[in-house]
Amino acid sequence: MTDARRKIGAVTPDERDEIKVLFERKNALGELFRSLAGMPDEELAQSAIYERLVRDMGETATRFQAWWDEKSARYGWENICGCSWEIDFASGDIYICRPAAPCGEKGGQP
Amino acid sequence: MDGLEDLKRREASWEEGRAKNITFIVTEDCQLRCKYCYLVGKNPGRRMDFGVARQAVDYLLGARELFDDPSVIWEFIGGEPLMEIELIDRISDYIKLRMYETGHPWFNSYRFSLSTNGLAYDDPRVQRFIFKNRTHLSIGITIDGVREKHDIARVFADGRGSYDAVVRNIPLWLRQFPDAATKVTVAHDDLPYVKESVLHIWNLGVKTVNINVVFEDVWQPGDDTLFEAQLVGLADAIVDGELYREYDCSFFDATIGQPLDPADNQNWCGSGKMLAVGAKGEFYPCVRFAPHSMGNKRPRAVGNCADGVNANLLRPFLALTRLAQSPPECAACEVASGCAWCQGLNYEAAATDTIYQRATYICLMHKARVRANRYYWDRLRRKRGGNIC
Amino acid sequence: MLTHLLVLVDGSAPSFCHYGHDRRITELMPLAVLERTVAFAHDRRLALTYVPGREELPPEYRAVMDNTAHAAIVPAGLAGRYPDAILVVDADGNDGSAGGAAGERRQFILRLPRHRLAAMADLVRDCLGRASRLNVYLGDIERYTAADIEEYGRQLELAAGYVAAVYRQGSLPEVNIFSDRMLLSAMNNCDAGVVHLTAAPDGKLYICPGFYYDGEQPAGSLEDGITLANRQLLTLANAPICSCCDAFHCKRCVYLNNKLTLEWNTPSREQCVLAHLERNAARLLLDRLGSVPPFSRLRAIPAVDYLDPFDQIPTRRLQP
Repeated sequence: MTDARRKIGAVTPDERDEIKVLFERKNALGELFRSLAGMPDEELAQSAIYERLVRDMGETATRFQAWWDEKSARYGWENICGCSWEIDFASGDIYICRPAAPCGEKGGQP
Repeated sequence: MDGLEDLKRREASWEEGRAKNITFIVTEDCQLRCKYCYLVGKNPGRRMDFGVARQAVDYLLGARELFDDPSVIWEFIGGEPLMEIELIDRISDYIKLRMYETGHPWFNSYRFSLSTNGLAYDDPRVQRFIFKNRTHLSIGITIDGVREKHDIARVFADGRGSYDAVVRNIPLWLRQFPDAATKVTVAHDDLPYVKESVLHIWNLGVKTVNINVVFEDVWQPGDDTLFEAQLVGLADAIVDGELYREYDCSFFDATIGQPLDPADNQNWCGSGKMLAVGAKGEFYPCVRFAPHSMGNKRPRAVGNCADGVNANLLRPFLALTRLAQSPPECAACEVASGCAWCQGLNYEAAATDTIYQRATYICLMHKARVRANRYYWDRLRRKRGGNIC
Repeated sequence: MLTHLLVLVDGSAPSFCHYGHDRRITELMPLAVLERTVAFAHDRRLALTYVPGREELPPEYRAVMDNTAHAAIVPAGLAGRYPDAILVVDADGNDGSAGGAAGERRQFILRLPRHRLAAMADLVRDCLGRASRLNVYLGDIERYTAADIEEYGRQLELAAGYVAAVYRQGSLPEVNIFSDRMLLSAMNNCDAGVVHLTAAPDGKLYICPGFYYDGEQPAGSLEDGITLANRQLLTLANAPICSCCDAFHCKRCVYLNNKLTLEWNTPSREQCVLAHLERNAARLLLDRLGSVPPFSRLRAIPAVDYLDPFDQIPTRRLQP
């Protein structure tokens, strides 16, 4: 692969929306987790929020990965060892990226 | 094929048209006293209390029938917002927690945004905040151009320019936000520096320059000619250097300068569609209607976090049309498209207490911009051989 | 174009429209001001409408007033003293109003404060037999709740029944909340500040009496004439919500607009909903009168699925 990023497919708008929500949620859960550590007790109504959050992070990560597994199998996307897939949320296009490529907000597969 | 495939595309803003913008005015204070700033009542006294912010967040997240937008941008503004970074951090944490706890759809589609003078950007507390929220955060630093231009307007209270104190933070900012844009303001005194300022900012690595002339009554005879000359010079530099591939300056826009159909009657300004939360929990249609923005008119609140939004007070903002507020010469203007206005200034400058009287101080400056745009796109078309517009 | 001048001869005169005030002590316009007001109107060919209070005016006032052709709006209790005047009915029944000589039909204004809303239909019924025209104006709209609006809908339904019965008997008094919309095919509003101004006891001109009582800026003075800026905002053309509305009979009350939304050209939700309840009641009444002439010749009022035309404006939502 010569280009840092190359288009290899596309998904439907509904499929795009599904992974976009999962991507956003995954990030939001991670950043909420960071916030909880320094938050005063009175803002944490109950410690059960931690358990819920950790469980949610696991479930969301699983669903996120399952989306990539399922779609890549369905569409037969090219897979290169050491590279990752990315989706452009604006177009729904799928790219394969070399690791060195700077990835912005593209909802990439880890 | 328009021959412009390699033109840098203007990025749409995040969730454009789908995101509610909610602004917390965390302080009315600032280290700077920028000469063109519309916040004429800066003061160290009015800062937001966390309790007020919490009440506002609880109300806003609870009123889903009113705020049913799919996405939200939580914005922090001042004065200078980073003077209250600890408060911002605490409010952001609370927002995240409450969105999650309440199962609010915004948890899956939110951003934090703030625009800063950049002086405190490398403060460890700011950096911690960035780290904590890095996938949901947009930060803009205002750099006004070359030192001469920046230091004409963007000065400390003692009159010193702030260029050096800001520009030292640009590399760090760009490492963290490589696609960041800056917002440049042009006023009478700094007109001679427009061209070199835009080029300078691009040289600093900021590829997108959002720039506008101030709406206020500051323009003097001959300013439009000078402005046009600056833009024509900039156009030459862009075309000759093929800078259009990588850089964008919002002064150049192929859609401006056309007559507008009466059916194209939308309001330009977004005030009222966004909501600004004042230091004491008042709601404003935007920060421009808050007390520290008002020189000679009463602030115009549209509710507060205890009683909620007053829908009747918001109606005039949401009902605004271009023609209902424009004088006949604007309605008939042959180059109307792209001519902007600020609802807050309109209100402040109006002969009565209305938001329905459009201030037209920028008329000649807009026309100068239109002429320069024609020059720019014509030159580009000749060079590229494309069919633009 | 300005054609009428309303003269508040006595500032304590009871309200005859949506505005309210609590002035009970006679506040006579100084005689010299009254004289200047009449001259002002005469010079500009403005038709005069006087609004005296409950107290009998001194003879020198009547002399000045009667010297020029005019109309008058007076408390119903003064019907005998002002034989041609429009009579304002006190909804609380404190004016002992007989409303003119027996058999004589007069124009009535029923101003209904919020606390008398539930009596509206009965009050309308009482007026119908002696009215050539009845204008109903709601007071205290700024304090209306959802329950009040619902009650108004009920009262309109009841009142429509009384009106229908009268019309079927061949008597055709106009009732603004019903017949105006039936008869109109375009906006016909109050037009305060455009068609008429109000001269107040302080010698200043106001958009309407409500602006005087609320201490708003005057629109001008007898000396300087009209100095009001942004008058275009009082017109329909510059009222984005109203200009896409077909509640043609609505007063488009700029006083209430200003009080509730802070803009002359923007009605509150309450105003729009109340006007649409009237519009819809007029529609149903017209349907109900069916083949009864002259109603059979009137154009049907179309059904609409909203009560607030603001909801039809695409940009109304709080979105960017």
